Amino acid sequence: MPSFSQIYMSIVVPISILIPIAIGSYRYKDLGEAMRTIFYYLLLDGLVNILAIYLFSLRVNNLPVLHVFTIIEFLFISGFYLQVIHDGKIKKVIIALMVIFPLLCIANFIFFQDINRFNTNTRPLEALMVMIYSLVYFAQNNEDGIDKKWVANPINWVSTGLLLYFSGALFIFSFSNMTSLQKVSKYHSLDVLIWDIHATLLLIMYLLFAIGFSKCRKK
Amino acid sequence: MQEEVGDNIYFLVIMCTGGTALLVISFVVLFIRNQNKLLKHRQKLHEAALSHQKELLRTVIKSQEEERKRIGQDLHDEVGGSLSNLRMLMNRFDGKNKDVSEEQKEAVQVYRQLIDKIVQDVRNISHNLSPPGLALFGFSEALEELKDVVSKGDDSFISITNHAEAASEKLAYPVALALVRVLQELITNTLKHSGAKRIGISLFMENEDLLAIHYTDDGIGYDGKLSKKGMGMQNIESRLDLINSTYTVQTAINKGFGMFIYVHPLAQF
Repeated sequence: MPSFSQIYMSIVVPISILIPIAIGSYRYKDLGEAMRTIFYYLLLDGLVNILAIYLFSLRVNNLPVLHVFTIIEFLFISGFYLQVIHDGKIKKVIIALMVIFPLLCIANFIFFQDINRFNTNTRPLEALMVMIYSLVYFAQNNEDGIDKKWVANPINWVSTGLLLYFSGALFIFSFSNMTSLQKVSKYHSLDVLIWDIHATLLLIMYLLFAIGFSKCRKK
Repeated sequence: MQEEVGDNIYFLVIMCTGGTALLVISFVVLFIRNQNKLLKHRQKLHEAALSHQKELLRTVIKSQEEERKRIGQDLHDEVGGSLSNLRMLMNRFDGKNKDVSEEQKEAVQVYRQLIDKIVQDVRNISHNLSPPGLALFGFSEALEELKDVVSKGDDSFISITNHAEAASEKLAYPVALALVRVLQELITNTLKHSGAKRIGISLFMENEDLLAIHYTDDGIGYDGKLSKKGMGMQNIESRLDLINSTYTVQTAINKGFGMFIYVHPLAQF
């Protein structure tokens, strides 16, 4: 009998990705370029979830998927912010990061961290960068002046979702090896708690994305 | 000892994640509040600018009306009076005066007709400038006057039906004047551009509290999407805006022109 936590983490939250995907495909015609990037990111996320669950069921370590996923995820999110941030200099920085970060990731799993373990060097770094993107976006939003209500702008919802998820999960990414590789039962329950929190943050992000998609309407 | 540390770790993890989430959420909430405040401020400024513009327009129209009234009255009293005097003087040269030759009599006859025409024109122009019936007898009378001036004896050209007599008489003077001006402008447009054979104006109550005016002509119409608004149409819009009335236009090429105007009978200028 699987525990509540297992059902929550491995069924409820992965399936909840269908909510934003469903709303996104319903409003697909109304999505701008940026929101389409997020839509494709969600599709990729869903596929990676399925692949991870499949590998897990075969008792194969699925952590290498995470190493590759980190790179692609960062590229998608950078692509998103590349479209919503207008400042030319910041755009150049984002493009530079889109080249440097994947190289760092590859260097990390070749030279520094075992590909079969969590990428605790690069994933927290990714989280930090996404947080900065999000804050830069909000700062720009504040400078530009606003012509419509905050809640009516889908980009705000997506950016909030990303900021909340990556800042909340920063600790989790950083300590994932320390907690999951301990064989002591006490650490195991801590591990479960941490990943429950992670799943909840992910669920909130999906729901915020879903609200964002629902706000996409042609003028 | 280790047991105690283990208990604390759960607490720490929840506190750290909760704390971060709290920070992010409060950041976003504060941000939203700040933006809404800015937005409200901007809307207020925008509204103030709009109402200032409306106020300016109102003053312009008011002074324009006053000026028209003055010119109309002067024209009617001064020019009209002088012309009447001239007409009286002309009577000296009528048939009974033996000093006047036949030739001169004929000429006088022509002058007299000319003076009569000028008197009539001055009268029409001054009435057009300030409809006298409106202040004295109300909106329906002003409409009748308008009809008389435009139809020039051909009664079938304009038909006016008023099913909202009570409400149309209640209209405040500036509102009624604005509506008369709009109808004048519409009629001018019809005469100038449409080649219409008939104009219909009907008044009725909509939902018991809105006075509706339906103006139609059977002219050539125009493509509502393509046509640029001329001065006349802009005048109509600004006048209707000022009395807070709503309106819809229905027209298409060769389908005539129709306009519904809705105004609250107790609206103020």
